[in-house]
Amino acid sequence: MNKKPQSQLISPRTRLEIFFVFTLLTLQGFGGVISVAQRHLVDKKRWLSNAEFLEMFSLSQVLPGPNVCNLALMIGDRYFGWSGAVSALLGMLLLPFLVILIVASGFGFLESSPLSTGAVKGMTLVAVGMTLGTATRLASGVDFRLLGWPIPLLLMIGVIISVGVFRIPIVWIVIVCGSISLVWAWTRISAEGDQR
Amino acid sequence: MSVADWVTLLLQFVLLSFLAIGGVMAVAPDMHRVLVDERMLLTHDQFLTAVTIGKVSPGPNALMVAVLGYQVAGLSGAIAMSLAMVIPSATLAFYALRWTKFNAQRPGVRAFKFGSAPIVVGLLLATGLVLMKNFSSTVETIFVIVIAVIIWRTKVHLMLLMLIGATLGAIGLI
Repeated sequence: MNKKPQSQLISPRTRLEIFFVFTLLTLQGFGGVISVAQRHLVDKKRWLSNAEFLEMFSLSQVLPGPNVCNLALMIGDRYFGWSGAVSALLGMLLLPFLVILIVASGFGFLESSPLSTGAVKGMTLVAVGMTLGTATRLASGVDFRLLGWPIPLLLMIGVIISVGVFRIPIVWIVIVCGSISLVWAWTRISAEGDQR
Repeated sequence: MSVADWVTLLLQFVLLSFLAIGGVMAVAPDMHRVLVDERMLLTHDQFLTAVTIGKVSPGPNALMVAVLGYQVAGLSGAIAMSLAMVIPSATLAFYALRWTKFNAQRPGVRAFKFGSAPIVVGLLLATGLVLMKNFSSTVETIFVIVIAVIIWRTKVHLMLLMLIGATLGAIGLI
């Protein structure tokens, strides 16, 4: 293992290089780009140390938009300001956008035979299962030690029922449940600070 | 669709873009409500197909929005909806990231981080619930739950699961 990763870091030379590196890694990201991004940016390119990557990743989760895109923005910005951020974001999205449209236009043909219709249906079920599985996995990221069990759990159930069953617009849920959750987290963080 | 319809639709997506903490899948219930239930531009099955294509194609899952746009209005729809979904959140994130980089330890930022987690998990579970709406058979529901548990507990590659799903579906087991 590297004892002094900081001194061994390398900077990208041009915006074009940023664009190509992100294009390359995003095209390998089937069903999730984050792990590929970690391998490329930290291990291969050495633009970031692992600790920097984790810190950037946790920040990128707090903000709206796809996490990987926020990560790309941050890294591009770090080296070339806003134009670097744009290069990274374009790299992340441009080619996958074209690929996904080709896939989408080809998907119609799949529904012509019963065999491929069945296959599409099977994949759809997997996609739905993935969504539920990812959500459950993320639930371990909720800091129950800090927040306690009852309030986060009640908020979660409240969000599931109001959005999933009653189909209330998400903006109201974010305003109401989001504020309760933030205020609660803030109180807990201050209480924790007082104990120290 | 008239120009006015398009403008309001895109504005709805712009709003969702700002709300998409935890990614685009977290606001999928609202996209479903707008496109399928309210405007009836897409069927529930088309929406499911877009989610599936988003997962089997390379790149961020968020690009399912491009498929939704494509299904509604071809290439121009795909471009319009993708821009409406990506640019607002990216602009906000860009400036917020510059700020948070130096303020990550402030209690407000930490409260935001801890406080948003339960909401994001709830929204993603709601997405799953909405997508499961039309499942007719128990076999389908059981299969979905099995996949969810595998994703949750193991590190099996997603594409392998897709392959298994496609095979089981093709031979008519699910």
